[in-house]
Amino acid sequence: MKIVVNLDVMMAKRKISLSELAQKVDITMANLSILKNNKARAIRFSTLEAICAALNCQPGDILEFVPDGEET
Amino acid sequence: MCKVKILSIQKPSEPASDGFYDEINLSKNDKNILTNSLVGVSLNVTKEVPYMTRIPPQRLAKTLRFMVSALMVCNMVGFLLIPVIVVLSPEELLQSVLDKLLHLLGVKSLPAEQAELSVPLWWTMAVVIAGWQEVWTKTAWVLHALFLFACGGCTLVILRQAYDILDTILEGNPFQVVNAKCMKRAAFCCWGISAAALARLMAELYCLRTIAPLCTYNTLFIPVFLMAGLLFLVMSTLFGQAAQLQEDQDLTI
Repeated sequence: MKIVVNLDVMMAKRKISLSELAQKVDITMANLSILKNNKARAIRFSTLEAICAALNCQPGDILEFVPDGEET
Repeated sequence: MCKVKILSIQKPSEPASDGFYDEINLSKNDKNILTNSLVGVSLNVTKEVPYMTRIPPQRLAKTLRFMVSALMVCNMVGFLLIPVIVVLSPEELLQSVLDKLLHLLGVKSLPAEQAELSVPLWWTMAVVIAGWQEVWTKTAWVLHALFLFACGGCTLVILRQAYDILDTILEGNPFQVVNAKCMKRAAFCCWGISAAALARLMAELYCLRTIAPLCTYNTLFIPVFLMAGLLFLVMSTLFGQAAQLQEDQDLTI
């Protein structure tokens, strides 16, 4: 079971590119890419706050819990 | 760690004050707090400084790497000279060097041919070749040479691991799994030297039937290299854990 980051979905809804979001959130594109591709081990609350502020959404819109056996 | 230059600070209803702030070092967290919490602060990150580059031990690591390289070269040269050391009596060699030193200091006079300090290259090569040919003729010499080759090989491996670890320190990223593996190899080599010293001690006790071998440096190497191996193993475990923490830290967004 794992936490899946649905950042690309929210980025598509808000029509914002990776580079724009990286600039708004003040993290590097590399780190944002790591987050988007579910390679990150952890995320700081400050970063999550900045992403939610930039995308005007809730943490639950970005983070999803996927139990074992349901991973796609 | 970032090197940050504050370009301007503007308080509400006041003109911007800029141009006179020096560069300061801030952690990324502090930089974020400064930009997120204060209104009207304009920052320019002039340089992202890897956290290791401002630590003085890197200079020590550079010096140490040079010394380790020199030791590795001496070790490899020593391999060539092992049969000569085994075949020629160490006491005679030492006495000859001592006599020349005393002659230099004016304490002891030697004939002109013995006082000569420079040794022709061809003579040195001939002695080395003769040593390599003679060392296999006696069992005691063979065992002594094998002991020195084993210890020399283990020492070379230990020095090579130290060189690799110092390289990563100079790169600014010492907490890697590779370094943990290097230290583990060094630990096994230390135990190899300790085991060789123990085998030599057992052989000498058996052959000489006295306790004299217990009073040599060889006996001291057994516990020293055993402890050194344990120390390397502990350091290997620590570096492995540190590498894990580093990876978690790097993948924390």
